[in-house]
Amino acid sequence: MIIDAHCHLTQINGSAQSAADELLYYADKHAISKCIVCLGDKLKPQPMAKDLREDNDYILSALEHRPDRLIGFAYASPNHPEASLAELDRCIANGPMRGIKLWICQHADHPGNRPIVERCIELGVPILQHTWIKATGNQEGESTPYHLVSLAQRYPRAQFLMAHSGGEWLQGLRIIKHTPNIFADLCGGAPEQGQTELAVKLLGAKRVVFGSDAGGRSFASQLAKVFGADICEEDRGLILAENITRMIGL
Amino acid sequence: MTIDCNATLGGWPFRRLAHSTPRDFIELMDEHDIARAWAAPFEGILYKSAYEANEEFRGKLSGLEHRLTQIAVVNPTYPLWEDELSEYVDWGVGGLRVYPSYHGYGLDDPAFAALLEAAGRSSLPVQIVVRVQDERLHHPLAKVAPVELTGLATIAGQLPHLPLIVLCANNPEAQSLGGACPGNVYFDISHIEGIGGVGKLADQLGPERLLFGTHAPLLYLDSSVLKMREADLADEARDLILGGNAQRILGEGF
Repeated sequence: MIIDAHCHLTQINGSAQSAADELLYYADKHAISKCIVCLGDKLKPQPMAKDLREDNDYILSALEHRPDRLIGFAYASPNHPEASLAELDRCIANGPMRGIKLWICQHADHPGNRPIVERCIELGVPILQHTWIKATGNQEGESTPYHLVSLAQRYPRAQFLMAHSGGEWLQGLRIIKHTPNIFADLCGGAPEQGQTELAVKLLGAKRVVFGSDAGGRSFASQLAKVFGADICEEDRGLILAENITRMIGL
Repeated sequence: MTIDCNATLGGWPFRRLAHSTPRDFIELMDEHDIARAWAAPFEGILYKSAYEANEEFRGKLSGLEHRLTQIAVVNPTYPLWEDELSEYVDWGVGGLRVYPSYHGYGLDDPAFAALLEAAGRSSLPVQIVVRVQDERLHHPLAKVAPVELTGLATIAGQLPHLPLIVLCANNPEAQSLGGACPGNVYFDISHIEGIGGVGKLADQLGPERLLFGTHAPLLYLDSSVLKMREADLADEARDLILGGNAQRILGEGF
């Protein structure tokens, strides 16, 4: 079984429903059973409270359309903690979503994230945090793995998914090695040989999760990180489905 | 028959790579039923004399020429490149590969025009490498901009019989350039992204313009293999991309 822990319905034309259908059409070519989707359709890096609600509405409509195949993560923002908590109640406590997504409006260790993370601990859901270390320079609020470590060490009972393995994965994977409540999400960067092998070596396969960042990325290039990696079949199974299944209580 | 038009072997300066020797790479090719790969040496990028890298690489390919077609790296701003190109012709290389950004010139440089003319006279296709690695991942002391492809359509139009193969272009680069370029410009699929990306690009540019390329072993070879699985393509179009176009460019036996 394959579960994709990191998808978007952006960069696909049409409504939430048609975007979901297209995403799953290509997922079927790789026998991907389920996709976790988040961030709506606007990709606003500095969302206002109303944007969070609208983006989550977009994801909810996709989930309603394909409830058998799609899992939602709610978009939250440390700039709007109260609105984010309301979204967590609406989309997770009283809705079908199973985690949250934090993106690039502020660094992960921004104080505004504290009530959001505390509520995630209560709900028992993971936090997917964008991270990158860019040779070309990060955006102002764009987290590096160091920011995520800072947040994760404050909340050892929370579970974090470090998106993109920190981008510059040779550093990113090393930075989180000693923070056991951070899992590496393999998604999104170029399928550079060695990423998955290093993740398994440093973190153990139980802390490594397959994600693609589709539709902007292909499923293919990201699955290649798992199928092309020199790892054992048991580890491949953990990465492709078992770890994320455990995290979201599927 | 599947032909990988974009393999680069040898030592990548910035980290360890598996499958980077010719024999190890052939084992990887075998796992994926890839009959042949067009390969150049990483050392051709940063050695001051690309010739030295090509010469070393030629020795390493000895006895493996039936699986690995040597592509010679050429820097047309470096002294004596024309003499060396004549030698590459004698070696029987399949084509030439250029790294304009790493070697410090643009496609509008007269040296590049001279190289293309020489390549045309020798009937050697030219591979233009847009990038070797995602710019965001570059070593802090080796930040290299992607090749500016503006003007390639005009250049290609002036040399209609010379195949120009653009390697490692991303979707916007291939889409914006491809439609304007004449039919002698090709793109490899190693950096084409998005769900169903290769099939969608084939719809836009035509499958006769795309080549199966992996950019392995720097990238997992499986990436391009799985992209072909993900692509919506008719059988004929698939065959063209996997090897038909490459065979047409280099001829049988390459």
